[in-house]
Amino acid sequence: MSGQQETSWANPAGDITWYATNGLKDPAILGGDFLYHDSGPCTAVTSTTTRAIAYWNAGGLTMIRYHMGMPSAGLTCADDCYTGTNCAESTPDATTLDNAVTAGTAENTSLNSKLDYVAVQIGAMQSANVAVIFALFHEAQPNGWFWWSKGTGAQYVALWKYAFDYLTTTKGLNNIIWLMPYSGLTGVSAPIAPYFPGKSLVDLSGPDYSDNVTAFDDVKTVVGTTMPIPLHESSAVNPASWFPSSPFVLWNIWAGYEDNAAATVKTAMTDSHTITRDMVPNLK
Amino acid sequence: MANCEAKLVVRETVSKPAILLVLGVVVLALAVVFGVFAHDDEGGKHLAPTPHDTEESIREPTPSAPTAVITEPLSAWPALVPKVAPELQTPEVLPAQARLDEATMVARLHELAASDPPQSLKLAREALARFPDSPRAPEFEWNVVKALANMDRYREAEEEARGMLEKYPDSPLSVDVDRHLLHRPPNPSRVQ
Repeated sequence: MSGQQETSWANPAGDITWYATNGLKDPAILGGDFLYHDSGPCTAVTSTTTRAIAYWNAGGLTMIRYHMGMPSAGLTCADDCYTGTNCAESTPDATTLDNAVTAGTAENTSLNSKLDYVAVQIGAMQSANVAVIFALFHEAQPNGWFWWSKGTGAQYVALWKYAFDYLTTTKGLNNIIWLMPYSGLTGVSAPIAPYFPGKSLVDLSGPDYSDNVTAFDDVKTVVGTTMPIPLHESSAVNPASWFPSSPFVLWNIWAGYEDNAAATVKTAMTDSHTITRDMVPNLK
Repeated sequence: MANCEAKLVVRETVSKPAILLVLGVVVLALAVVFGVFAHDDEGGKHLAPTPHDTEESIREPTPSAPTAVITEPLSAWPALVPKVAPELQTPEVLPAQARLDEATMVARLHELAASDPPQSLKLAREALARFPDSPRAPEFEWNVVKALANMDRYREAEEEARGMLEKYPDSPLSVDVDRHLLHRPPNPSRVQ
């Protein structure tokens, strides 16, 4: 399935309209990011969510990630940021990751508030009978870029389990397809297997960017042969080269990259293996 | 000459049991030193830099000269080796086996991950200086960038990332640092 991440921070519709402008069909999947919340309160439904629902209603699927700011005392979704103090790319101190999943700590209160915000968004989708592929805590790898994967595998798994339980049990959400998103740069770090939360908590798992058989097999070694493997974030893709050795189930061109890699994206979108939005069966 | 005289005096005036006693104290002191460093290793896994890991204490090359030769190589598995007087830690006197080979440096970087960015930075810089033409050189450079970012030294990390893109334009690791540091999504506060 083809996919396109929207530029949530500026002209988000531009990424999808690029396809029609270039004579292509719409991708099957629209990607979004909960980092951007329209300056509204954390209890408000964002335009990212509204666009996701609209894309579903137009026959597509939606896939969301969340550059969640690092949990810290007093911080909520309103404080989320990509780079800076207590942002997605920040480095946790020795206690942050453990405290985040420990009831009664300031970090746990902060994490809960951010998950409450997620629950508002995905809850709105659930109310609209929309399923969402949720790529939470993405680009997981030892020594990853984001705070959630700068600790040990056990800490990442604890965080994933906590979020899974919070959103499904505490918040009662049942419309999430859980995508456990690895980094595609598995060769530059310790083994990635300790970061896998287990099949009971994951529906899909795959790498990003590296659309080759090595990256595919690195994840397959961890998740086994019964779990679909997505390319959850990508630049240029070449689906014609994936079969039969590395049959990624979906791709998601990162925001703005569709234009940078226009030639390969156009080829990918017209490849005989590719599913576009008009080919998605009615899931309503 | 004065030194020889002093040794003679020691031989003549100190009894054998006393010498043994002194040797025993020295052995005990060495054991304490080794014990302290072994303890340090056990507690060495930390996510935040400790005070002795501060930027000032590392004395690394500047980002504008990332491949400058480091005159003080890391000893093999530094956390496991007792620290000796600095004057002994020179390339001339270190035994050859004390310098990590490339594969071991890679393994050590993997093991460190994000737990000790100053140590990762030092190790990655040394690896880059010693193996600049290795196929793994982009990986060492990537570790330099990552370590700087992990210490919130973003300006230096970005500078290093630009240099990496120039040196290894086709490496997936260069693409990785580019999208995380040079063309990353903006903070919401800048767009709302």
